[in-house]
Amino acid sequence: MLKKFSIIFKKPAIFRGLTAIFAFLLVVTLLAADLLEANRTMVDQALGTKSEIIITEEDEENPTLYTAFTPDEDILTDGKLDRTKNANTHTDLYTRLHEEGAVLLKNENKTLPLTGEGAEKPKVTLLGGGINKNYPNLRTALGKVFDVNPTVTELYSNSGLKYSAPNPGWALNKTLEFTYNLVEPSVAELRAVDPDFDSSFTQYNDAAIIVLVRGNGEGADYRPGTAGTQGGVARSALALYPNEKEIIKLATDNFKKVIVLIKTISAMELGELKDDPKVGAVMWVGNNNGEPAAAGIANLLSGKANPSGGLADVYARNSMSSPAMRNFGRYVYANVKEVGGAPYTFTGEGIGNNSASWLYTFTDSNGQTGTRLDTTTRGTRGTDRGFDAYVIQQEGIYYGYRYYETRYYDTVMNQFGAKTKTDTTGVYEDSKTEWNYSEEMVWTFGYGLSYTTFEMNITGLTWDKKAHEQIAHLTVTVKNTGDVAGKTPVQVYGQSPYTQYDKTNLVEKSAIQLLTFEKTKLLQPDETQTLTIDVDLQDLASYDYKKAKTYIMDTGDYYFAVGNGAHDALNNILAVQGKTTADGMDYDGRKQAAYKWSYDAERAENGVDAFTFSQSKAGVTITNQLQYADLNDYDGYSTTYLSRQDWVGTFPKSPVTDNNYVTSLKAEGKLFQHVTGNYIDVHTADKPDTAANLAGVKFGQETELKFGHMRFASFDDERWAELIDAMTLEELIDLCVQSGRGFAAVNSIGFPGGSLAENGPGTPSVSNAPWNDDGKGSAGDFSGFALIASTFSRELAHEYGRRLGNDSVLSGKPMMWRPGANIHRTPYGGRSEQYQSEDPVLTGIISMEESHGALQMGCIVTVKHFAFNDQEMGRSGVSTFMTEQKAREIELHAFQIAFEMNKYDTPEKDVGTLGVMTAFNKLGGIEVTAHKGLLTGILHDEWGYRGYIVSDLKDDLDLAPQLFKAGHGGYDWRDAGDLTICEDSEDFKYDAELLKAMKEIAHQKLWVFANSNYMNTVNGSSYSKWNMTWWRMAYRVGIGLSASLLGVSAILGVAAYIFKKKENN
Amino acid sequence: MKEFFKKLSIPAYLLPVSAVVSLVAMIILFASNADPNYVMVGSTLVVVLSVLSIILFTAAFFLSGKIGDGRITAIVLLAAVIVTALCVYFTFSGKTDVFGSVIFSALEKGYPPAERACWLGIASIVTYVVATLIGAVAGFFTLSKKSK
Repeated sequence: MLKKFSIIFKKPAIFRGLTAIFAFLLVVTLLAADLLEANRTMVDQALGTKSEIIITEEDEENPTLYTAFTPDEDILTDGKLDRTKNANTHTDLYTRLHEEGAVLLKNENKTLPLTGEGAEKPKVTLLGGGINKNYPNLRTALGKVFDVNPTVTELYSNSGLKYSAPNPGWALNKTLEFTYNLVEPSVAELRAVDPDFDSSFTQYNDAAIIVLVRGNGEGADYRPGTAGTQGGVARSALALYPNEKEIIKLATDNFKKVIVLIKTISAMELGELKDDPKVGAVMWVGNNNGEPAAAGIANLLSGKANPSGGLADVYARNSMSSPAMRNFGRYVYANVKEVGGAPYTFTGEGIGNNSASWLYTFTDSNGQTGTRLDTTTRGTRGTDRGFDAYVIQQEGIYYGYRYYETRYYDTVMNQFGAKTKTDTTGVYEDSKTEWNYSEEMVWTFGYGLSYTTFEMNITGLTWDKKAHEQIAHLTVTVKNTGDVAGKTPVQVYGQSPYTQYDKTNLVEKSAIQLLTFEKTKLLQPDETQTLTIDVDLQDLASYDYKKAKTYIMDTGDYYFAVGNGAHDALNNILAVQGKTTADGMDYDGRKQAAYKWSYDAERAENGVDAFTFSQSKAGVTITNQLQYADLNDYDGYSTTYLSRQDWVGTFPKSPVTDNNYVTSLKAEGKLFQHVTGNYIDVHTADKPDTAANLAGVKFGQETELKFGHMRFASFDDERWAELIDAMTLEELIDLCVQSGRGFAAVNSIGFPGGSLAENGPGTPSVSNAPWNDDGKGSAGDFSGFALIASTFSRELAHEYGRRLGNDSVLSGKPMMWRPGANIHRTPYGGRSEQYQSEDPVLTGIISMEESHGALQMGCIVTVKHFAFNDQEMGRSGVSTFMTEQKAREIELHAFQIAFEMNKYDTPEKDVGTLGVMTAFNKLGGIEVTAHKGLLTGILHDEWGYRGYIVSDLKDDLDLAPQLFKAGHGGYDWRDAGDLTICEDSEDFKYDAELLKAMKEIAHQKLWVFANSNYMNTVNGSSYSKWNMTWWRMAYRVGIGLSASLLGVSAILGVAAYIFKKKENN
Repeated sequence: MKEFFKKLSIPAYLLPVSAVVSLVAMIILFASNADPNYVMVGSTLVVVLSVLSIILFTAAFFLSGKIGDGRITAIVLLAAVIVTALCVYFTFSGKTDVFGSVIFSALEKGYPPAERACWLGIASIVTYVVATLIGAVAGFFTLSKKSK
C-alpha cells in the first residue's frame, strides 16, 4: 500500500489536477450557495422547505398564543376548518355573483327565460365554438336545465374542429394573427364533417344559444385596425367576425328564439345584434369559465334567477368613436435613444406614423426578418422598452358614457356644435357627418334589463350641511311593476351646470355622472321599497385646476336622477328641463325620476364656491399637486384638450390628418430631465447632508420592545418610534425595500418576516390550496372584477372581500395584490378583466366594499395600480399626460373612495384601506412611484392614507432613494434572500430627510402587519430563526468537502513536488 | 522554436485549447450583450477575468515548455483554472435576471433580444466551464517531456 502511495507521490501532476478540479468544484458550490440564498423564498416554495421559521413561545407577558383573526363560523365544524363547507361557500357566492352580475341587454318577445311545457325541459341547440369549445362548463350546466342537441355538441367535440378567441394577454411578441385572429369553424367546415348536422335542429328548436368570446389579459392590448384578423372584419378584433355572423345567421334562419351571450370584458361592437329582430335576447355574462359561473348563467337562462346587473362600460357601435381612441397606442418619443428607450423601428400598419402600430421588425437566427407584436414586459426602468413611450389623454373627462351622454345632451340642447362630426378617416371611418346618439350607442353604462319591470321615483331630498361637507339624503321609491320577483340597482346620477366660469377656465362638466348606488332587496310583484340614499356632494364637485386650483361648485340649477343607466337618467333630467323627442331626444324621460335643486352656497363668490370642498376629509387644504401631469406645464410644449364648449374645434384629431397633432414628441429640457428619472434631489456621499441633520436620525437603540408587543397598536402609539429606532440602518433598508413576496426578518425588533404576499390577483391557485375540498372554490379562481362591479351590489362585493379575507387567514398570506381600480378608458385596454369599470364611482365603491370585507379578516389588500394604468402597451414608464381635473375626477376618484372608506368611519376610528400598489407608468414625465404630489400630497396628506405602499414588481428600483422621499413604500421584491440593493447603504445614509422618510415607511408597514392576520402567529416572544434545510446542508457539505479536498490535494501536491525534487537531486 | 515544442507533452496542448475556449466564451458573452438593454451587470469584471484566464493558460503553456513542470507552472495553471471558474461564477450571477424573465417566467419569453441574452449567456457559461475543465484535466498530466 505504502509502495503504491509512494508511486503516486512521485507524480505531483495528479495532485495538481485534483487541486484544480476541487478548486473548480469549490467555486461552483459557492455559486450554488449564493444563488440558493439569494432566491431562498422561491426555493422554499418550489421545494416545500422553510429556510426561516417563526418561533413563538409562551412567556409571562403573553401566556397563551392568541389568534388575532379567526375564520368565519360558516366554514368551521367544531372549530376546525371544514374544507367542504369552505368550498361550498365559495361556489355559492360565485354563482350568486353571476346571477346578479350578468346583464340582460335585449329580450324581445319574452325570449328569456326559457321554460318548457310542464315538466319538459326546453330543447336547445348550442351553436358556435364559443360555447362548445371555449365554455364547456356552460354547456354542462345548460345540460342540467335544458335538453341539449347532442348532434351539434358532438360535432364540435369530436371533429377536431378548432376554436380560439382573440386574446391579447401575455402576447409577448407573438404574431398579430396569434393574438387577434378568431378561429371559429364556418358552416362549410361544419358541413364538411357532418353534411346533415342541421337536420337535428328540428328536434331541438326551442332556442339556439351562441356565445361570443373575446379574451383579456395583462401584457398587451387590443389593437385598432384589422391586421391579424380574418378578412371582412370592420375596424378591429372587437367587431364581429364573418364566421361569427354566419353562425348567428344560421341560428336566426332556423330558430325562433336566438340567444347570444357575450363573454368578454372588452366592449365589442354589437350593433348588429341589437338591430337584428331575429336575435331575441342578448346577455353579457362576464368572462369566467368556472362551474359556479356557468351554474349562475344556466339559472338565469332557465328563469331560476332573474337578471339584475347593469353594464359597467358603454357598448358603442364603433369602438373607435370615443375621443380617447385618438390617443391610444404606442407613441414613441422622437429622441427615443436619448431618453433610454429601445432603439427599435416601429413599422407596419397602424393608425399613423410612430403611433399605434406597435410592431417591431426583427431578424431571427436564420436571417429571416419578420414583425412581432411588441409588448411591454419588465417592471424595471432603463431596460424596459416601454420607457420610450407617451400618451396624451386629450379627451379629458369625455370618455365612455361621459362622452356619449354629454354630447347627446348638447345635441338635444343644440349647442356647442355637438351635432357636427369631423375627421372620420382611416380606422375612424364613418360615413355619417352628423352626430346622432342612436347611431353611436348600442347599450350604455348602467343599462340592464330584468324579467320584470320597475318604476323608480325620487320622492324627497333633505340635507346635512357642514363647513366642508354637504350630504344629500335622497328618498327613492322602487316598485316592481312586473309579474315576477326581482332586484334592481338604484343608480343615482347628477348633473351640474356648465357655466361661463367653467368655459373660461376650462372646467369641464359631464352632462351626467354616477354619484352613488344601492340595490333593492328581492321585490315581489307590486312590492315597493323605499330607500334613503346619501349623496356626498364632494362627488359632484368639479376640480378647477386653472383658477381656483381646488374643487368648486358653481351656483345654479343641479339635478339628481335615477334610471336604468346613464342615458335613462339623463333623459329623465331632460324631461324636467322640458325637453321631449321633438327636441331630438330618442325617447321621452320621466320627470318623477329626476329632482331639481339649487346650489347657492353662502361662500360663493361670483357664482363659484371654492371654499366648501377645498378641504379634504382629513382636514387638509386641497390644491394643485400634479404639476407636469399636463403637457402644457412643460415650457415649450402645448396641446389642446377636448372642451365641451367646442366639440368640433377641440375634438382630438386623427394623427393621419392633423398637422398639429403631437405624433412625434421630443423630450427636451425639463421633460427630458423628468423622463430620464431625475425628480427629487438626494444627498449622496459627494454632497452629504449636514452632520446635525444626520445626527438626529438614530439607529440601533436599546429597547425591550418587540414587534409582537405592538399587536393591534394604534398608528399613533408612542412605542413605534422606540421600536423603529432599535433597527440598524441595514435592517431599515431591508424592510423598506422588501415589500412583497419575501420579507427578511428584522431580528433587532423580533419581526419574523416570511413570504407574505400572494402571487396573482387572488389567493394562491387551486392546485396548492389545501383548505379547499378537491381544489374547488378558491377565491383566486374568480377573476371577474368587472362582473362584481356590474352587480351594482355593495353587499356582494363586501361578501366577496370577506371570502378573500378568510382565504387569507387560512393561507397564512396576509397580503393580496387586489382589487384593480384603474379605469376602462377605452374598450381596447387588455387588462380590463382585472379592472372593473369605466366609471370611478362604481369602481371606487366596489373596491371599497371588497377591501373592507377583507379588512375585517385582517387581510391587507393593495388596491392597484396607483395610478393611470390605462393601457398595457408601453405601460412600463409610458408618460401619461392629462389635466389635473381629469386625474382627480376620474381615476384618482376611484382610488379615493376605496382608500378613504368614509362610509365605515366612526367617531372612534378612521377606517381605510391598508394597502396600495403603484403603477408602472409615469404621470406626465414623472414616474408615479416617485411622484411626491401624488403619493405625499394627495394620497398621504389629502386622503389621510396610512398603510402599505408597494411597487409593481421591482419597478423603478434604481430610483429607490427618490421613491422613499416621495412617499413610496418599497418593492414587490420576489425574494427575501436577494439583498443586492441592500448591501450598499451608501445610497441612503447621507440624507437625513430620506432616512426619516424610511423610518416612516417602516412605521406604516409594521403598523399594518400588527393590525393584520399576520399576528395570528406572532406575539412578543416571536422571532425568526434560521433553519437548516436539506439544500442548505447540501451546499455546505459541498463547500466543506471541496474546500477540504482542495486543501488536502494542494498540501499533498506541494509535498509531492518536494519529494520529487529531492528524488531528482 | 522547434526545441520549445519538442519539450512539450501532448497534454500540454490542452492549455492553449483552454485559452482559446476562454476566448470563445468571452466572445459569446459579448454577443449576449449585443442588445444595449440586456448588457450584463458585471461584464467588465468577467472580461478582465477572461483576459487573465487566457494570459494565465498561455503562460502555463509557455512555462511548461521553458522551465518544465515545476511549482511555478503548477501555480500558474491553478490560477488559470480558478480565474476561469470565477468567470463561470460571475457570468451566472450576472445573468440570473434574464434567466428569470425568460426561463422561469413568461415576462420576456419569446422576445428575441431577451432570448438571445439568455441563451447566449448560458452558452458562454457552458463554454467557460469547458475551458475550466480542460485546464483542470490538463493538470493531471505531465506537461513537459523534460519533467518525465
